[in-house]
Formats: sequence, C-alpha cells, structure tokens
Amino acid sequence: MAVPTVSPTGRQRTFGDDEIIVSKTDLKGRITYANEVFLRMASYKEEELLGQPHNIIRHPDMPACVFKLLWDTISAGREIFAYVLNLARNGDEYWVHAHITPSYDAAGTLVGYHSNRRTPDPAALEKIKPIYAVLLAEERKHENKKEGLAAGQWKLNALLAESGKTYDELVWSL
Amino acid sequence: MNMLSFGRAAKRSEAPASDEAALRAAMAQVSRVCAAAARGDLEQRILNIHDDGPIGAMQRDINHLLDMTDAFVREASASLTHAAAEKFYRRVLTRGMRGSFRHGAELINAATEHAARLSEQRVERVRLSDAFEDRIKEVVHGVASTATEAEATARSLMESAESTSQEAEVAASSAVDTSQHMATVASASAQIAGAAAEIEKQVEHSSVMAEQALAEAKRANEVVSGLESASRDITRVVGIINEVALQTRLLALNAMIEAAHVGDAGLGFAVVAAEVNNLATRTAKATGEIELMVETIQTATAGAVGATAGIATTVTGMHTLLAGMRRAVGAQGEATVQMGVSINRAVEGTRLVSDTVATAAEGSVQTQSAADEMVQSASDLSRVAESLMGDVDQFLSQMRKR
Repeated sequence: MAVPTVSPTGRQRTFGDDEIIVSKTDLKGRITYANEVFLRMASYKEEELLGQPHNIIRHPDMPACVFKLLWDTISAGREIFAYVLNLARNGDEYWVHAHITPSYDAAGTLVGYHSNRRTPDPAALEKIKPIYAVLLAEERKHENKKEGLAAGQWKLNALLAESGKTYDELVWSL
Repeated sequence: MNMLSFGRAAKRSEAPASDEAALRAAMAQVSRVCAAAARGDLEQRILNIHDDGPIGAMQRDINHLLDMTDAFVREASASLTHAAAEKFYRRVLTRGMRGSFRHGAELINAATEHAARLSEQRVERVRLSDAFEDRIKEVVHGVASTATEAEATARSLMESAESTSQEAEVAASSAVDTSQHMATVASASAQIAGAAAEIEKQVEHSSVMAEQALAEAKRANEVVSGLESASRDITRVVGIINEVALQTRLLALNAMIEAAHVGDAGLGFAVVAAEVNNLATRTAKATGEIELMVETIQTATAGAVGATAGIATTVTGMHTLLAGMRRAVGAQGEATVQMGVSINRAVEGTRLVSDTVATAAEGSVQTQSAADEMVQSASDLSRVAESLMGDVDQFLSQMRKR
C-alpha cells in the first residue's frame, strides 16, 4: 500500500495522561498492531495500518538522525526513549514521549519491536524542540539525504559531547 | 493472528447460524490470545476488530488489558535491569498507568530510590574508606618510619654506649696506672724529704765542725803570735850577747897588747888573752848562726800567721756557705712536704676520676641495655604497624564489599 503524501496542518492533537499509544512492528518496522488510541490519534483504520511501515505517521519536521539512533539502539537489543512529533492522516500533529523496546519470544529470539507513547511533559518538550530544530537545520543543509543524515548524527554527537551526557541521560534529564 | 470480521458480518447478515459461528470464532480468538498471555506471551493481540457492539468492546478491552500488562512488564523489567546496573535514573513511567499498575510502578520506583540512596552511601563509604586508607596508611607509614628511625638511633646509642664502655675501661686502667705512678712519686718524694733531712743534719754537723776549725785556727794564730814575740826576744838577747862578745874581744885585744909590753912576763897572760879573744869570736859566730835561725823562724812564723788567717777566712766562708746551704735544704724540705701534699691530693683526684669512670662505665652498660630494649621495642612497633596495616586492609576490603 502506498503511503499517501500528507501536508502538515500545524494543528496540535492531544491524548489523555492516563492513555498510552501502543504499536508493535515486525523486525522490518512494519506495523503488526496498533491500539485504539493509536488509531484515534493517527486517524487511520486498523486495516489501513497493518503491514504498513511505521514511518507512515512520521512528521517531516523530525530530524532523521533521531530515527537512525532509535533504530540502531533497538536493533542492538536496547530500549530507547525519544520525544517524537507524529503526523496524523489529515496533517495534524501530536507530540509523544515514546518508549521503544525489542520484543522477544519465549526462546529469547528477537521477534519485533514495541512502542508505548505517553503524553510528553510540556517543559521537556520546550527543551527538546530547539535541539531538534538545530539537528533538522543541519540535515537540511544537504541536498543528499544520506549526507544530511550523517551531518545530523555528527551534530547530535557534538551536542551530547558538549553536554557531557549520554543520549539516555539527556532524555531522562529533560 | 486470525482475522475476525464478526461485527461487520453480523451487521450485513441477519442469519443467526452465521452470527453464532462468527461469535464462536471470536470467542476462540479471545481464548487463544488470553491463553498465550497466561503462558507469558504478551505479544499476541486481537486484530481486525470491526464490531462496535459488546463483542468489539470485549476485544478492545482485552487488547487494552494486554497493552497495560505488557507496558508494566516492559517498564518494570527495564527499570530493574537498569537498577541492577546501578543506572538508577531509569524509573518506571507511571504516566498512563492506573490502579494496581501505578501502585506497583510506584513501589518499584520507591525501591529504586532506596537502592540509589544505598548506592550513593556505598560510594560515599568507599570514598571514606579510600580517604581513611590514605590517612591511616600515612599514619602507619609514619609510625613505621619513626620506629625504623628509633631503631637506628637505639642501635647507634648502643654502639656509642659500647664504645663509651670500652673507653671507660681504658680510662679506668689508665687511672689505676696513674695511681701507681702517683704512689711511686709519693714514695720518691718521701725519700727526697728523708735525704733532705739527712743533708740538713750533715750541714749542721759541718757547720759545727767549721766553727770548731775556726776556733782552732784562732788558737793556732795566737800560738804563732807567741812564737813571733819569743823570736823577737831571742834576737834582742842575741844582740846583747853579740855586744858582750865584741867588748870581750876588745878587752882581749887590749890585754894582749898589755901583755906584749910586759914581754915574757906577760907571755902567759898574752896566751889567756888570745884564748878569751878566741872565745869571743866563737860567741859572735854562734850568735850569727842564732840570728839566722831566728830569721828563719820568723819567716816561718809569718807564713804560719798568713796560713792560719787563710784558714780562718776559708772556714768563715765555708760557714756562710753552709748557712746558705742550710736555708736551701730547709726550703727544699718545705717544698718536698708541699709536693707530698699535692701528690696526696693528686692521688685523691685520681681515685675520684677512677670512681667517676666506673660510674660512667656502669651508666653506659645500663644505656646499652636500655638501647637494646629500645631496638626491640622499635622492631615490635614496626611489626605492630605492619599488622595494623593488614587489619586496616582487611577491614577496608570488607567495608568496600558491602
């Protein structure tokens, strides 16, 4: 199924503090499960999402290097936390505090990935937004996506080195 | 995962048999997902939910329950895994969790908080242990090095005490020698004093003898003087005799002349007169001889007078000399007595030195023994310091393990 090109509207959507957005993917990032809150927030029907790549809800203002770090981390078997701006089917957007973890079967084999998103702390969001803006600006300096991604990664590492924190420590300190 | 299309099918078709079949299929699906979850497989979900009625609600609720349970397990696992690696910042996210899930999450977070505090305390304890170790090591090293120094000092003290002891022995032996020399000197000075007294006695005796000799000389002078006057008397008498002899010769000559006048008658007389003349001549000749002899006597007497005067002068000189000698011997005797006193004092002093040296020797023996004990003590102290270091190491390693 082709991913429709959606233009962002800039409208904010929110969900409840006692709700969590849940989705599962296979090892290639194709959606295998999305809960009711996911469907509501992204404005998709279940059958429209199952089997689709997870970046169907990816917002163009998100730096690519964040997703690169995210996938590198979880494919290495580790959990990751990230503040992510998502895009609904109609172009509306919503910030989530995403927790992404690998899923294992009873034999301990990696079978896919799981993501729980909670409402982000507004204060933390205000801190992460300028960082993402810097990373995005860095990436957009390059026509070539690959070069842009490399520049973004380099910038992210530089920012982390400057703060003296690991990515995890930075996210938890927000 | 099975596709369920119960709801839509139910709406589309009113056939009860088909509804019942769809319901059974839905129930079987719910049952499988729940059974998998009960086995610990939280990956299964009910998919393709289209029913908006109670069946769909049940399917969504089961997924919701599974999502919450899954989230709780993932959160709790992640937080505890991090805590086990001392990454206490990783807490269970309570947002989105309610009731028992939230309560459980809060309990885990409280436990993590406590573990973080314990960890901080342990880090602090290790830090304190390190500081304590540094300090105590410094102290113990100080003690050990002081003990080593003390041991070296004690050894050096022992050596110098030993050398003092040896020197005291030498000094004591020297003092004994000196005492002996002093005794010899004292005895020699006593002999000198005796000899001086003897000399004094002899000088006194010589003096008396000289005085006697002087008196004898005076007497001899007087005798010689008497002899001189006697010889002068003899000369006077000889002079008278010479005069008488001369007159006699003249008379004899006159008689002979008278006799010649008378011729033969006078012959006999003439013979007597010649005889008288002869006698007178012989008398004159004898007195001449006497005069010569007296002269000789007078010359001898004069020599004797000179000689006795010389003797007297010599004896007087000798007397003076003896007086001087007596004074000198007296002074010498006095000096010898003074010397004896000094020697006695020296002997006393030497004994004092000897006593002092003995005391010093005794002291140095005591010092040696004390230094020996000190060496022992210092060595003990070093051992104790070492043992203390061992205890401290053990204590600290135990401390740090906890």
